[in-house]
Amino acid sequence: MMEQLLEYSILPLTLFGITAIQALGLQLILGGAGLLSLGHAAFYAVGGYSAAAFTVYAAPYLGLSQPLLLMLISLLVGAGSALLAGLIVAVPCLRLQGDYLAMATLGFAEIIGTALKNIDAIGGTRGFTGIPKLSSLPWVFSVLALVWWALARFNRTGLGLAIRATRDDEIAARSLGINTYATKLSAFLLGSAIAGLAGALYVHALQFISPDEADFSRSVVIVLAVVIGGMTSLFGSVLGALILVAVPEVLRFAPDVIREQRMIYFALIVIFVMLFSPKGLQSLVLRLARRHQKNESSSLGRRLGGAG
Amino acid sequence: MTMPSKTTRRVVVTALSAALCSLGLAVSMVARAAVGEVKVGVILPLTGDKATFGQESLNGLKLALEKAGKETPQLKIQVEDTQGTPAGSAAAVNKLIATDKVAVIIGEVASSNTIAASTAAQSAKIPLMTHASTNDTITLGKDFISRICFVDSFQGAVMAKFAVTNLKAKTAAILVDSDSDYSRGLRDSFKQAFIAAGGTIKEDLVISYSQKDRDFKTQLIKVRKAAPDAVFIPGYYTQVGAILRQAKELKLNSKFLGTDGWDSPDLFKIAGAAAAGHYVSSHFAADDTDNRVQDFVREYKARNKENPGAMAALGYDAGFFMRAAIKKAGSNEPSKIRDAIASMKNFDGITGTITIDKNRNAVKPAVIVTTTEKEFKFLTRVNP
Amino acid sequence: MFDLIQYLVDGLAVGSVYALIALGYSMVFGVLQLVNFAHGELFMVGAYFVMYAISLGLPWPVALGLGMCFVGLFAVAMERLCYKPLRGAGKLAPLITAVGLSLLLQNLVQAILGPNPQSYPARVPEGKLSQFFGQYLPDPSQLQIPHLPDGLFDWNDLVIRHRDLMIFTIAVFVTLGLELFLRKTRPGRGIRALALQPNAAKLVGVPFDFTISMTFFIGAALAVVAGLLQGMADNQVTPYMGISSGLKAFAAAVLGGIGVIPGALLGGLVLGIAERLLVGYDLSTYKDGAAFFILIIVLLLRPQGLLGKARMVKV
Repeated sequence: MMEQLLEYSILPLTLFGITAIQALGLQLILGGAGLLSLGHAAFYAVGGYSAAAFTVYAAPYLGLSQPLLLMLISLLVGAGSALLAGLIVAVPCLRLQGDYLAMATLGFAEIIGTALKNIDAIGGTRGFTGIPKLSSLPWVFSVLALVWWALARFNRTGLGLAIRATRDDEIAARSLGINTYATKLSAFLLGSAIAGLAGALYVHALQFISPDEADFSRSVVIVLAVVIGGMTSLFGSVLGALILVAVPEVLRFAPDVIREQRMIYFALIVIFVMLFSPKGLQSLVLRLARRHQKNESSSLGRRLGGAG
Repeated sequence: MTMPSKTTRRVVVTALSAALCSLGLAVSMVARAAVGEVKVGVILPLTGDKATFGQESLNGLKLALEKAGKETPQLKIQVEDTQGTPAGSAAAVNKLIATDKVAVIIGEVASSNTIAASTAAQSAKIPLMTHASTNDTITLGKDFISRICFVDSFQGAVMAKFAVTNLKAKTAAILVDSDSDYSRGLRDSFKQAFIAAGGTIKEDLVISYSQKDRDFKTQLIKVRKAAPDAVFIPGYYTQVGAILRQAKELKLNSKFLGTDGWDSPDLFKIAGAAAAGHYVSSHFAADDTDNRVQDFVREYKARNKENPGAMAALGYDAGFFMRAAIKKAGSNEPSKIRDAIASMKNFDGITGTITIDKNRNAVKPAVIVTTTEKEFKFLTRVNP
Repeated sequence: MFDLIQYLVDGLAVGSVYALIALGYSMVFGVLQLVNFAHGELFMVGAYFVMYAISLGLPWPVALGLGMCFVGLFAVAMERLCYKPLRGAGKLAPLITAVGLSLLLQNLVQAILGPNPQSYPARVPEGKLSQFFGQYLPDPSQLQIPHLPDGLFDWNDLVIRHRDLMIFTIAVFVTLGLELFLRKTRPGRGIRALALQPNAAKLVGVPFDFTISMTFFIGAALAVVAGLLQGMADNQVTPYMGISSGLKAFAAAVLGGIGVIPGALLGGLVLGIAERLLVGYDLSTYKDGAAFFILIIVLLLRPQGLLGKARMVKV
């Protein structure tokens, strides 16, 4: 029974892990640096395609075949190419403010998508097939844990703090001597590279990728994950990713009536979460927890006469 | 008691939530197949712009399984909707293999989708048999992949010879769907055969369109200017219907030739009066006078309230064929089923007598039909 | 040479449809600085509504009028229920909500009317709804399906479809009408005032909530017109037509200058023509990226769009 349970959930858990990694990358850009990037999926796609191109075309040529090594190198390839793509997008876009930045990132993502559709060697619109199966659930979760840990530490470094300072008040940050352009750029590049990692894991798990993965609709899913969970924290993004993958999956097994309309229920849940908790579910949970704490400790606090 | 660090707490919470979700997923457990029962995965485009193909295939398949009744082997089908896209097909196959543990898979319809699905099937060593994908490359080098329909190198040549011999066409243009492996493969085989039979196709008369296009005026004007004898459109009905309609509007008078991607009742709805007077290669025609075909048409119509198209017929044959193969294999082990499929000879289907060759493709005849404003009409049969 | 002219004219009709949708994006952004990502879905719902209304036997002006009212009021409800509560909650929350609404509408239409493309005369898939619908369906042979004119200006080298010119003319008139409305009528001037200086507008008595609702209503109504035109031109509606046309229309609005009415028309036409040029010169696979490529160039060189006014940001 345990064995069946595990087999059952491998695919959704793998997808959850990949989505969570993307969300962490976006959290750095969106929540950390405050940049409204609506094209995040494009970096994920670029990373995925490059990693796949490496294992399908370059690896045989170089005589490499050891799966562990191949996977590690393709992770690097994925991250690197996504970083490059991020550079190409960020340099012109970071000059723009707010809404215009959002529109420009969206535009670039669609352009990248169109470019991918036109390269025949990677399948064009028909998608890239024939990718060997190199990654799996353990890989995905390991990378997720690593990225999470690394970002948590990064947020406490000087650069991490500078990024958040820039988000909070760019002018004040600049007056403190922070190079705000450099901090925004670093956040963007790091976030895209992380997306590239997710892409490399994806292509080697599903053995297929199509240019639709760069679509605006995919970017929106990641933005949803970050915002619904709570965009000010890493945990929030992972939570958001969990919800986004888990809810449609769980609904898949609901009685037939609900099952057919599960995307409708999902959309309704998204809307309601936004209306009742615009800062994300994480803040909702915290608010409820705090209220509960306050009720419990208020009398105790008065008796102790101190801070609660 | 010291509190674990914030990070640790959160990792634990997430892990617990993930575990809870897996339990949630397991609420409706799919039972392991009982003995005498074989789990068959089915991937079809039940939604999207090729939906009639998927729906018809499923109807045909279900009819076949119903007719087989309680005899063993019992096929237990698990159907996944691919939404008619390569990505959807790959995802569907992954789910069927990883989660449902099927022994064999039937599907998909569009060649691009089947190609996307076949990598995962091949590497997991689960046989995949397509009832409708005709692109030649699908079975190349993948010994777990097979099909019970003819291939495009045959289909393209059939239409080319028909154009030259029956329609006396000397020049042709090709409108190819650049998003589709099927269309591109047919473009190549038609071109080759047409030229070999003495016709000419100018380079700039091989014109592309995309499945996302709705307006084909620009492409059609180019064709109109050159006024070729025949225009070959190896595409899918949703776009072809619009192309035919717009061609008529632009007073384009060449003869249109089509392939099995046209075979859908929706073609007539979209094209309207413009649907009439064309020639299409396919697997089956509902007005074929063969007794078995007529029996099938009657039963299908009674159940589904409309005439079956080629996809329904292929789905029907797939059902019986798969049963015969599994019976021959005498086991529900994937590799034994694969071997059985590959060795089937002279299977009497309603889409023709099917023999599987050494490339795991079907050797069988093609049917040429003509179109009226409302339906397809049988014209002739072409043997391999 | 003639080819170029051909493509320019061909692009007018497609561009006009983009323009009509872009007007809605432009207006709403003008007053609320909000990109209503659900606007494309309003276009889709409008197209469906009109197609089904006509398939039920209603004459097209009635179908159009009803559609405009229905979808317009729906847009107002959307605004009141989902956007109004989030005023002041930052930029992201309304954006996510808009995305949720977009998903909701797409899936609702899919669930009720089927996920496959529909053509005239539209039908409802088997189920309880089809029985209800079925009793009101007129005999198909009696049904007069309105068609756009199918004539041609045919000079052999240059072929112009009458229907393309008609759609273009409609779009031009609609844009002119809207611009007149915004300049000459009181409610119209209220919308412009809100867009320019919300606080001052409130001070002089412009009814804030009502004006915003009116903006949504008008934008939605125009999208329904676009839906009718496209549904008749292509003889097809799908639940996904909103996403594909919507995003491009948004790019068109930004391209022309978001918040500027003639800009939406210009942007739409530029986009439509660019697409046709690519198809004509056999680069049709780059068509989808064209809109965004142009968008990026404009944003980098002239962020306020072709006809927009530059905004000064005070530090």
